[in-house]
Amino acid sequence: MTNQDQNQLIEDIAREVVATTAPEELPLFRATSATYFQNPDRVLKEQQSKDEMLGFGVVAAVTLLTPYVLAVVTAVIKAIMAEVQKSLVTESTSLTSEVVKRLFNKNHPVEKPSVQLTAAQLARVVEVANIEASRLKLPDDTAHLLADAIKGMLS
Amino acid sequence: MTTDRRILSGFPRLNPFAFPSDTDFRFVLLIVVVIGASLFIYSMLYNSIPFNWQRLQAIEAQCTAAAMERYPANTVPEEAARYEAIYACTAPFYRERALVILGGVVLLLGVALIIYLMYPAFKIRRDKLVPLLRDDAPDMSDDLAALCREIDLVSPPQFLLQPLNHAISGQAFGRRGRYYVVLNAGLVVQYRKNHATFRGVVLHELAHLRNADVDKTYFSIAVGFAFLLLALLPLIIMLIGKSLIDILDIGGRVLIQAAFIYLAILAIWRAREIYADVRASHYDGPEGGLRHMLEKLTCPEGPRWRYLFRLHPDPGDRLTLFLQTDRLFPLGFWEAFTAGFATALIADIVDTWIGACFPTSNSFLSSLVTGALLAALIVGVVGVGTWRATFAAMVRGKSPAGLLRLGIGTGLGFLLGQRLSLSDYAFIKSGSVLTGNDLLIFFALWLPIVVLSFYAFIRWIASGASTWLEVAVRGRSPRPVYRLVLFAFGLWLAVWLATLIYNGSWYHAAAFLPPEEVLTYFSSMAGAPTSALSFVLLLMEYLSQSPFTLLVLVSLWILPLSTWFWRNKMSHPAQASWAFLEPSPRPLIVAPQPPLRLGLALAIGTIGGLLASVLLLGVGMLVIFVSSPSDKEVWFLEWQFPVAAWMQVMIAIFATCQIKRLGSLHGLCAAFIGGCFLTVAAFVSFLLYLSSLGFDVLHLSLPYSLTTLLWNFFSNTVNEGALLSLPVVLLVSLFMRWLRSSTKSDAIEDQSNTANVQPPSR
Repeated sequence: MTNQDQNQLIEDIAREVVATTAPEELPLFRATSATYFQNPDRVLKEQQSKDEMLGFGVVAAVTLLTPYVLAVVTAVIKAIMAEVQKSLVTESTSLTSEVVKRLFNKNHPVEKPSVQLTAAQLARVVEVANIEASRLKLPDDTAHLLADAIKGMLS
Repeated sequence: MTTDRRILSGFPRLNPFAFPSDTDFRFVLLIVVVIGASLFIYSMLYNSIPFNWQRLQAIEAQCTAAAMERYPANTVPEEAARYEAIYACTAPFYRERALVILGGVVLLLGVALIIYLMYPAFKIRRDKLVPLLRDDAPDMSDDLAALCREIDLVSPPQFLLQPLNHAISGQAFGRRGRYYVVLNAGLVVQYRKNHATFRGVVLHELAHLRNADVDKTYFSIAVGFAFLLLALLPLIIMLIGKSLIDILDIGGRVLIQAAFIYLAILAIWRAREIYADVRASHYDGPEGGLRHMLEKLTCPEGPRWRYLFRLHPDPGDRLTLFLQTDRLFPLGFWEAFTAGFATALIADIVDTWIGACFPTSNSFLSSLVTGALLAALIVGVVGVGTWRATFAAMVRGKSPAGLLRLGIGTGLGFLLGQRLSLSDYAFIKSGSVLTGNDLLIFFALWLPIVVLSFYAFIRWIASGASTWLEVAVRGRSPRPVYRLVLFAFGLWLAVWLATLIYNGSWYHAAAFLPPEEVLTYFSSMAGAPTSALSFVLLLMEYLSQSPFTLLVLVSLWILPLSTWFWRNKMSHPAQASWAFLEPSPRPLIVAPQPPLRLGLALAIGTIGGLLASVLLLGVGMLVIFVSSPSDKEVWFLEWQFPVAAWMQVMIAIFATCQIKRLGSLHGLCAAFIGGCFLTVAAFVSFLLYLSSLGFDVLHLSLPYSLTTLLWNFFSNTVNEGALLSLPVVLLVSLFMRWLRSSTKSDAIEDQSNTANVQPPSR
């Protein structure tokens, strides 16, 4: 899978997760994801509220979910790709990416995916999501929310 | 306008947008200060080029030598003629230099313009701003377009997103014709989570566009950057190698001015934030999401002095001013000080540059052009501020307060600005300044003149505002009234500032001449004045000859009192829907004020003038018949006018005592009317005198025209009368006010005492 394809997949999946967990952030999704792919660390860094000219003043900041969703989905995609490659026993990246896409393509299944994630694999995916959320210092409830959303898309 | 606008059931908020904001003029004033500083710096840079300096020295030496040869004596008239000759001889060189300097300023403004135009693209790239696409948020896009229409924006901005900024905030920026509003990520999420907050903050940012803050803010920043690059940096390079004293002196002045400009600009930006809040609340309502956001703002941490460097006001002040907009109306001491300081910083250099570009034998004319420019700015800041304060006080049934503070602020700022100006540095370096006791005496006189004149000017504006606002509140908008009246006040101030600038140069020019020479010169004009009284009369005669003096003195009373002609309109109650931000449940109530009595003043002036004229004629006849020829000459050529002036003072005092409201101005009016009659009497008396000497008055052969003769009589009589009456009526007016308030207090006390002493009930 090329970087562009991977990014597109991450973006598509993350958008669905955001639509489920934080729909108020959808207007920002395109811009945030574009910035994320250029510099993930920058997006994940906490921004201090600044006193800007002709702004509103030094106000409270909110924590947005979208950057964390992107990070978690990125980790999950990578984990799934590793699992799918093992299952397919092939090094064909194009086939791997196609399968991964179909795993998430619940709404428009063209064909039944040739490989489904096993329960153990699914658990592994959830574990990866939780580990990544923990690394990002997300609260437990938020981490579970994201993991459940991703799991729901794969089940 | 929204149909769901909330109406406060309590105290309605005054509309600060009914009058122009003083901050607009403060922006312009500060940009003018930067340009003024640039003019001076470029002068220094021009002179620092060896070729230019040598050429200047050669031309000055050549012209001075020629003038000395032509006017060798060290007397006042010869010195003045010598100065004029040198000025005319060196004018072409200075004009050329002035045009080169102008080129430098044009270049600076051009660079500022480029920075201003390019900054939006730079900001978009630096902050990684992306456009809000309709596909991403169709509902939000529609709502934003609706908000733009609601706030009456002519050209809606482009909305950009800043995904990395999670603050519940936005920002407005751009350039003319292309404005942007940034929606931070934290604000965008409020669209669904807390729509009222989203609406309030967006309206605040749109209000900046509606208030035209973007152009002024970013252009002033661009001018500042251009000044740093193209004026300050070359100055620093030029100062390398100079003496430490020069570096400290000029560097210190530039540093103080730069700090002043920077802090003043920050103060203006803070003020604009409050106006944006108020404008937004006009559409959001005083109880909308904007208010709740303001209540949640917290004071930034840090020592209190850091407030001076912040871009937003203290949250507590911000909320208070949001709710009590009448507190936006009065002008503060420091705003007035800034106006005076900034004006004085540039007065000399602008005057010098205008004089160089447009040389004229009448240097007062160039001072007049400078005065007009500076008057526009002072009236824009202090004048508009006084009008706003007077309006707010009138609506609350009070008199405008703090006028003395404003006068002192403007005056002290003006004086400090003169001393810290770069022009002053040049004068000090050239040695053409007073020093020691001469300097102290000069300032002992100059300081009260400047401070009191600014205070008097502000009081006069407040008087005019109090009368003209009574006309304005009965119209659909106050705009036509304040534009016309403030323009008139500005013209008046232009003349007064020109006088201050022109006569303030005595501080420099007087250093060329020993004081005794100056006194001898003035003494020789009237024979031999041996007393201070004679000297004062001589000075008054000198002032009264100028046509500007008549204009200035008549304007003092005609501008405020001419609303008398609208007195029938003022009998109807005021509606003035424009006075409040929200539709008010009650109409505007302007506390009734005592009526103007122009008719009474005219009557007092007429009757007083007729009586005084008869008396003056009678004295003249007596002098003709009983006095010696030398005494007759003294009476008709010298003392007739001061006596006529004192008669006018009596008329003025009488009118001031009789008329309660603006008694002093009515007094001046009565004095003027009386003076007109006395002019006729003095002229007729003079003709009778000439006739007694055997002249045929019907066929007089004079070295000047009859018009000139009549003008001399008129100006000597009327102007001297007004000049004498002015301080007297002010004192009498103060006394009468004290007397009336004491009488009123006594009456209230008496009533109270009577009420306490009740006969026992049966």
